[in-house]
Amino acid sequence: MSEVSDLKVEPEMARPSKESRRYKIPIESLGLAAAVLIIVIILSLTTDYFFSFENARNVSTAISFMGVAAAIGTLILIGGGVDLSVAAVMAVAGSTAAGLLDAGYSAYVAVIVALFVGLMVGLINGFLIASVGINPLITTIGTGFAVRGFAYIVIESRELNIGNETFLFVGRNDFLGFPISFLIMIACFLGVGFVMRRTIFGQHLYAIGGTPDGRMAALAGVPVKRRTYQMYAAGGLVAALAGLVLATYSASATGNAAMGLELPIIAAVILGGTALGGGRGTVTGTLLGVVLLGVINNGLTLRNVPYVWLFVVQGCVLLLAVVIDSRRERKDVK
Amino acid sequence: MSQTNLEKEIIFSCRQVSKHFGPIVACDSVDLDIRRGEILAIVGDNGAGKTTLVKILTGAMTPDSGQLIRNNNPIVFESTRDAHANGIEAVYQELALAPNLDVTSNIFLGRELYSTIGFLPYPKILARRKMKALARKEIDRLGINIRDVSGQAVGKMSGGQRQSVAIARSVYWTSDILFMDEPTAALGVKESKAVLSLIRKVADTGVAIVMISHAMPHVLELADRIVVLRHGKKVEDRLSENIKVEELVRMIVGA
Repeated sequence: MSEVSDLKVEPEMARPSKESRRYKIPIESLGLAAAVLIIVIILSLTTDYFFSFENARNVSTAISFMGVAAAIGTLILIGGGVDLSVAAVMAVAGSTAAGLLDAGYSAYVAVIVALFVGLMVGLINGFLIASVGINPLITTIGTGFAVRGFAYIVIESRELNIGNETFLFVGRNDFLGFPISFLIMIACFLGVGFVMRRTIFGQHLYAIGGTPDGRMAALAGVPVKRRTYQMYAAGGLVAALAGLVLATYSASATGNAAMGLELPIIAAVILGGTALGGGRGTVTGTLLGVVLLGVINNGLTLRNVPYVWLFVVQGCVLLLAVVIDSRRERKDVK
Repeated sequence: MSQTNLEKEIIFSCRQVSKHFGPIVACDSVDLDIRRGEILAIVGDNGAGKTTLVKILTGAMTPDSGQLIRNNNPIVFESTRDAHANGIEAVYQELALAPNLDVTSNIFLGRELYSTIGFLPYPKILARRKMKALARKEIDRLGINIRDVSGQAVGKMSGGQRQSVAIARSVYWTSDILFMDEPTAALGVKESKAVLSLIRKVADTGVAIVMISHAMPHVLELADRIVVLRHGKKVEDRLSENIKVEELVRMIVGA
């Protein structure tokens, strides 16, 4: 047994007492926070309106539905998946709720059915990805298209205004000085953060995302298939919630609601430090990414930049996020 | 050093196990007995069926035909989980660890300790502190040099450290049999030596070790018994005493 000594080094190095602290703030989060701060300072100095309570309220409400979707998007990306059907699910949830309200059902029925529809789409995604074995990118583009169709179909391609006061309560009121929709977003971030950091489910998603197709996790005994189902089901459910938040915010529903929003959502998640390939990421980073995009959008509006330029800016931000991600991956491999 | 005593009790066997991949026969009617606390080496040329056999024995793959027998009872493994439940663990050549997780998370992956709130079945909250303490204890017990069992991703550790963690993970959970696919592949001389002594240490605690290896000197140094596979068939099964490297190579290539 004398060879065992090869495993040991100088005693002071082997001393186990000083474990490194577990939760260090990642450098990219600090960078992102700095970027947010710089943009906030510039906009505060160059526009009159930006640094006001009213505008802060506008921004926090405007980012809330995207934030809800980005919170759950973080969970899915960490788990090695991707959900591009999220924007379509948001639309179909809004349409379903608006259609039911229009037909005279109560706000509670409308909300529950809309969430159920989202959950179903998530389960279909889970089935196609985990059981049939189709690539998640292709799967969710496909289900996204189909679901987008239903978003038009259920309200016969109309733009339905929502007048139900109970339903609109969330979009119009504050609680403790914060817009309720903003608080829903914060609750989603806290919830996803808790799940990812503290629970077995979250631990398994990190493991599944850590190797291609979760192969290693499967060998270790992680129930990869069940986790994949749960992950996409949660994705559908929370996307529907995001759609409802959007519907209460805009007090209307159309088939093209949230059109194209899936890419800024993913941009926010990747900007926040979540790996495109899965296995790494935090919701804190995503929240900063969402705030950054929200402040940029707000700034462009306040500076009277034509709306169409928003697409150009968002596209560039997405590309920047992907470039940063690929550089991080390369650094990891070394 | 423990030496295989043919009197020792047989704890795990397979009978007439076969596996085909299309026209390719990866395993052809293989019989194998594993005895308590022995170190058994499975050797063979590339494509001889070693990895397939180990995957079948550890539940990572199901055989086309044949029977597994654990403690004299026939048994079927649908997944690695079933094998784990029967005291059988494996360290795979690749994918032995989740590179993005730390040592503690890897050791407990798939079998996390948790607590719940009151009577609620969910959420299952990770008992991180408890798992960390147990991981630290296991790493120290096996004399492995790793400073942080939490906070540092194993992907950033050296090859020898990673292999040691993979072994520690399996040893922590196994009661009886540990399979290893190429435990010293891709390791330097010094790291190999450390891993080999770790394997010997584990065997001395009474765990049977079944290893696949291409490193003939390591096989002869460590194994009590050697099984040779060729084209999916078992062609040799004998104690490793008095076998020389050249002889072993001849058995493998069938010259």
